[in-house]
Amino acid sequence: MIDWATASLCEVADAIAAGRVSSREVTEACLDRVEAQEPVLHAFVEIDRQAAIAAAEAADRALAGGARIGRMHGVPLAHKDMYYRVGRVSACGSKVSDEGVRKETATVLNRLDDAGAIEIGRLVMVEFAMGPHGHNANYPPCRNPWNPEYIPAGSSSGSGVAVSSGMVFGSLGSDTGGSIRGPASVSGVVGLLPSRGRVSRAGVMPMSFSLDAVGPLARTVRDCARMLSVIAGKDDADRTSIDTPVPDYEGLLDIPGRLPRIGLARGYFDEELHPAIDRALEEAADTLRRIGFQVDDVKVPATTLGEISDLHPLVMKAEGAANHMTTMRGRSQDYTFEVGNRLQAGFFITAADYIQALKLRGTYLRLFSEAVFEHVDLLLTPLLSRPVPTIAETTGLQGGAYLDMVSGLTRNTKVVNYLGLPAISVPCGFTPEGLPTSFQLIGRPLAEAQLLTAAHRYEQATEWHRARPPLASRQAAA
Amino acid sequence: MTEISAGTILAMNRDLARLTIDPGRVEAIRIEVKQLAAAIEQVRALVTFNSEPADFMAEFAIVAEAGKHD
Repeated sequence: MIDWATASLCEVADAIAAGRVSSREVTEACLDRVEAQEPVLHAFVEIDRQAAIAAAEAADRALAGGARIGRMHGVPLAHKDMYYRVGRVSACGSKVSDEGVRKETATVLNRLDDAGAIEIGRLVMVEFAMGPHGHNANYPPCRNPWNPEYIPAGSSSGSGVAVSSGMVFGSLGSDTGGSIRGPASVSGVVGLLPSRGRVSRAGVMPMSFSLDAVGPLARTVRDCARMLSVIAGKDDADRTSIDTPVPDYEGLLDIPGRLPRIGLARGYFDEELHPAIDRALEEAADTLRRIGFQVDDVKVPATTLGEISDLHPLVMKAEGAANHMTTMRGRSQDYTFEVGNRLQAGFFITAADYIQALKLRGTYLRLFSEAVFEHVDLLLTPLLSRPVPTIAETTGLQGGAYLDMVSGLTRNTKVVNYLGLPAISVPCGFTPEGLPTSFQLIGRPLAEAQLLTAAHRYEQATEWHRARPPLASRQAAA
Repeated sequence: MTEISAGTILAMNRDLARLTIDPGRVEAIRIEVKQLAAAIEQVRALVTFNSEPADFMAEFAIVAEAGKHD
């Protein structure tokens, strides 16, 4: 008997479309998993079982009635609690935003609705998407499904946990410095950061308009490809969205063609790499070679990347402070200690310094591209340099220790946001502690199809994406 | 290395940003501000007079286009 809650998004969508299973059956399977695991994992802010079942039944009736259906018809999803929907609260992880219903629906939610997806609840996130660990003092601790003592990473913490633990088949996260790729990596699922402008941000909580991107987390590369095909594309409501055709990313996965050349990053990304992660990365490179990819060492501009790593928080905090200035004047006491500090630091960045940090982006993108993309199409890097830390190890840190923890979790990801490039995190093994580890592939602007194709071929040659965490039951909570 | 005092943090919050600040936050903010100031200081010499933030999206388009002709 198939446990539908552990199948992939595409498997379930195709089974519903073919009448092999009903939307109600798979939605109930997901809801049962939520009920069993939520007391331990704390991935949801809100879930409405009745509404989810009603939506699933409506999807089944539409299919039985011969309605034209979308590519995600009847598939249960849930998203980071920063995607606005008319008439609903989006708390964005904060007491500051937890009141008042929204007057707009995010373009990406409209597109998923049009594809037939069902949204069953709102997922936990770090307050205002500002933290890579996954902690949020406003909620019970969100926990890693592979071991509840470990962090789920953030800021899309609920997204990684809910997808990995079989509560939903896919989720939208957001990524300003690694907030999709980090949670995907430590939960053992796939996370995709699209290029700047590839996906509309209209109706999505802004953190940093220069660095934010919207993207999917799902159990397989094919799932991410399908979700990207649905949500990508020009949107008149977001003038930063790029007007270039959206390929059928999923359809391209199986079309034979020239394989992209892959560079294994030497410099910056391999500094202070934990031996277990280094080993997993080298094995991933060997697997890629074995299935036909040309994988060669590529020397990356380490000094440039180090400078980008230092400048990224300057841009993020200046823009975050600008977004929050009015609210902070009236309600500074309602921000958590941690996020309040980080935003308040942004008020001390001078306009001259902020502008200089932005002026350097073009130069840095050119330097990086000359060093990397003149030799290869995709860059292979570790996603995290160190094993996943525990909740205890990352709680209560202050000052330099806190900043070191944040920097350690984001050093390989935030540089990609600053450069506006697309990247994907793909599970490639486990650490000695039994936590998943992933590699990252980085591509040229708008090269999502190449990223997905390479990641899909790797996934087809390995079994990592089939690993599922143990069911986190009520007993574990006790 | 830029040094920023707790007094500066309190005065700038009050006088420039018009924010009341919890005294318990001052030290954490001071450390963050020091780090941010150091980050831009080390690369200031790289910023050219006639560059501007919009150069980024121009470069973005160039790099994207180059990939189509490989």
